[in-house]
Amino acid sequence: MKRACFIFLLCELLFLCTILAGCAFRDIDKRFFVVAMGIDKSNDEKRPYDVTLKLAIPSPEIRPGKANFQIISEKADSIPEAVRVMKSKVDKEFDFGHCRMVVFDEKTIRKNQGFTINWFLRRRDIQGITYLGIGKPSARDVLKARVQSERLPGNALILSFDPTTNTSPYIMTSMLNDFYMRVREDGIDPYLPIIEPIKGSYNISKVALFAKGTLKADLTRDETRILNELMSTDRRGQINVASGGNQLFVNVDDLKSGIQVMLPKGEKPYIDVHLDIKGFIEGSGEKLATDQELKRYEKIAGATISKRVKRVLKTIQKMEADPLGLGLRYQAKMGATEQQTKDWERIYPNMDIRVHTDLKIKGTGTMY
Amino acid sequence: MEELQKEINCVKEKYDNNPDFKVHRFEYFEKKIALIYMKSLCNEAQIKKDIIEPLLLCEKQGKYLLHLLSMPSCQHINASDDVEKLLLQGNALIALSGEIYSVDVRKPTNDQPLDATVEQTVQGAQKGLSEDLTMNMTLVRNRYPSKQLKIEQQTVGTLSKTRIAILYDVDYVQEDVLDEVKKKISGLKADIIQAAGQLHNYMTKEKYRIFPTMMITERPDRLALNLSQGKVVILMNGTPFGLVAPAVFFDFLSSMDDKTLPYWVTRLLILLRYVGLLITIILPSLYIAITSYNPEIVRSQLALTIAGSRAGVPYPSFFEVLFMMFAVELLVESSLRLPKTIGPTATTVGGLILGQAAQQAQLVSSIMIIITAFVAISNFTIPINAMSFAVRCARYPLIVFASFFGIVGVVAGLILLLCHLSDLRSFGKPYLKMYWGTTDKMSKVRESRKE
Repeated sequence: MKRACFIFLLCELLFLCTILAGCAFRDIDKRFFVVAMGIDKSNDEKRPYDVTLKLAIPSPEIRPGKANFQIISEKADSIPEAVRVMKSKVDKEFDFGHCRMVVFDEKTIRKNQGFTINWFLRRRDIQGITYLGIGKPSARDVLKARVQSERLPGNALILSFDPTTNTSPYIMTSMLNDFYMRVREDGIDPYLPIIEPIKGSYNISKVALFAKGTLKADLTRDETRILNELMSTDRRGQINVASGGNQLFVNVDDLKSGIQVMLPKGEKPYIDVHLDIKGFIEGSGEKLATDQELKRYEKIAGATISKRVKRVLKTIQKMEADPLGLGLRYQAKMGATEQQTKDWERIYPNMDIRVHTDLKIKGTGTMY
Repeated sequence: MEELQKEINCVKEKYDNNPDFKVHRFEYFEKKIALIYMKSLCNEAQIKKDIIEPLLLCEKQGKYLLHLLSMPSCQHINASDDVEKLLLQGNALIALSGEIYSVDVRKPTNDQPLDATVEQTVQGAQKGLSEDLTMNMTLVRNRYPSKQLKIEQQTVGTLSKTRIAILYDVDYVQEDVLDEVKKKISGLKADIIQAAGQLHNYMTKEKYRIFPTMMITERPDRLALNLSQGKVVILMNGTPFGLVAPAVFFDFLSSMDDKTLPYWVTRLLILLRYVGLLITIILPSLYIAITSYNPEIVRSQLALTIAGSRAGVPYPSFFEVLFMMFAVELLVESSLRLPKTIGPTATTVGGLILGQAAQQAQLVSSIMIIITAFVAISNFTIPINAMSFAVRCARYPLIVFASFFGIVGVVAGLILLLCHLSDLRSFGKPYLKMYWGTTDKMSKVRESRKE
């Protein structure tokens, strides 16, 4: 009797399960995936945050250019408030688990970056590997842009920032965790890539540098590339080393950069940059036949590269920005007290920069 | 002798109405001779050849008796022997001048080795056991011609009196296992035992059991191999399956093909089976966990694809999974029961309708169809059928856990399953013992026999 009762209860439970799913149980199709977020500064004084969400509309068929999405935005006094209000605008629950892209506009991120990204750090469903960027002219314009090759909404930006799918040296990748570390840490400054929507795609080739907690300035495209190479990312491309009348392109195979803060006694401190580049020639205006010619070009090209790198570092130094973390290297040598931090701030703008490039041309490329 | 005569009379009265009970009386040597046997159990041609014909050739009673007793299966019956039992075992009783002799003239049933259909191999032996115990013992002896092989015979089942044989290698066998096997067999309380699996059920304490703790196999080569590993083999009359004890979990995932194929091929196949095992256990529950609780753990591309294909499905994911699992189980079960000629029709109809139409009707998502197929196919990679069935059952608790607690539930369920498996004992041996008498040990020819 007891047994029969138990079996009956079990059957009843199973049956109820099938018809009463409950509210904690939310299927994947009952969630709205936020694939990208944009934070703009609004003109409204009381509600300064203009938050835009890019919501993916999933479809069983996936074809290029057919990525369906929905854009909603809301102004509020804070980001969480905006998200809360926006929930009333959609039919399903937001899921930030796949929000891999957060775009700010220049005005929002100019000051108080730590406070702005606080919400993203505290939400457990927003991943630490979320990419950050600055949208121009505004974050919403970036989210609104429809990319021709995009198969899934928001995927084009993620793929662009992923170093395994896009190795362009002009794209600098900034992730949430890394950005937060740079904001909090003395002796290293954050940076954010600038995303500009163009027709059917995005243009990501510049980077904005921060110094002393504020957004300083943008680097140009070529400066961005050199900074990217100095940061020893896996992104590499060709280097155009014009020498004399000859346009020489070197396809970089391997690039190692060693940066050191040198503090010789009784001398002016300087930054020592050592670049080790290995590559093949990809284009040359002149005929390259002998090893001697190659050696000559190696020398000339090396000098050209050194000069360029020095110029870029000078520009960055002038901004007093420190994306390379030179201040941390100084701290590693001298200690990390408040006094040392102050010392560094005094020393850094006047430091010499010495760049040495070892260019090794491994071959002239495939010739038939 | 009067006692014996009385008993025969008693038996005669008991069986007189049975058409197959035969009492044949005739006179020779000027004496009455009676031949008593069960017609349905005995080979009458053999009776004629071994008992009647020599009688005609012998001119003296003494010579005939000599002939009778010279037959290996003949015995002189003492009063204490159970006449009835002998008759029912297929012996013919010869009553001659007050003495009774019994001769084994049993009619063999199905003593041809059957094709190995349940546990096939590509390059191994193609014949399995037969349904006759004597033949099976012959098969094993042929494959294991060792003087250390010991065979003990007895019967189980108070009504069926099924003959079983316990085989082991005297040198290799683990005494504790052998003792336990014997103890369990002597303690059996069952009326009818007709199959190896049934004997297994009666021999295990636990009533609610999922995983088999004894290997059931139809392959004489596996039996011979297991004998060399020091295991105890139980053969049973009337079933082409033998039981092996003890058996560990990993034995159930080894196929006899593992011995015939090259090293790396074998490794790949073994790996394949374990991956298949994992897939068939966790994939359905993982689907529930991912679609309903933790969609962030998959790539956004996949998450959106799943979301897209589930968009039109009205029921929650666990319903979808249960529905498809149910359909597949039905399909497997029906193709098992159907005659071989109709079998393909059922699978085609079932497969097509369930696969294609259910997805088009938006009852299940297309991802679910893939998962269903995956789970079903990978389940069939498990070489021993008993384990394959066990794994089929084991995934349902996981589905329940996943529907209530998501990924955490799946992990907790797997841990529980692991706990259960490590708690299991097969005749005193830990069930999850690694590599107990598997390939490594077998391939080595051991110098000293006893370890």
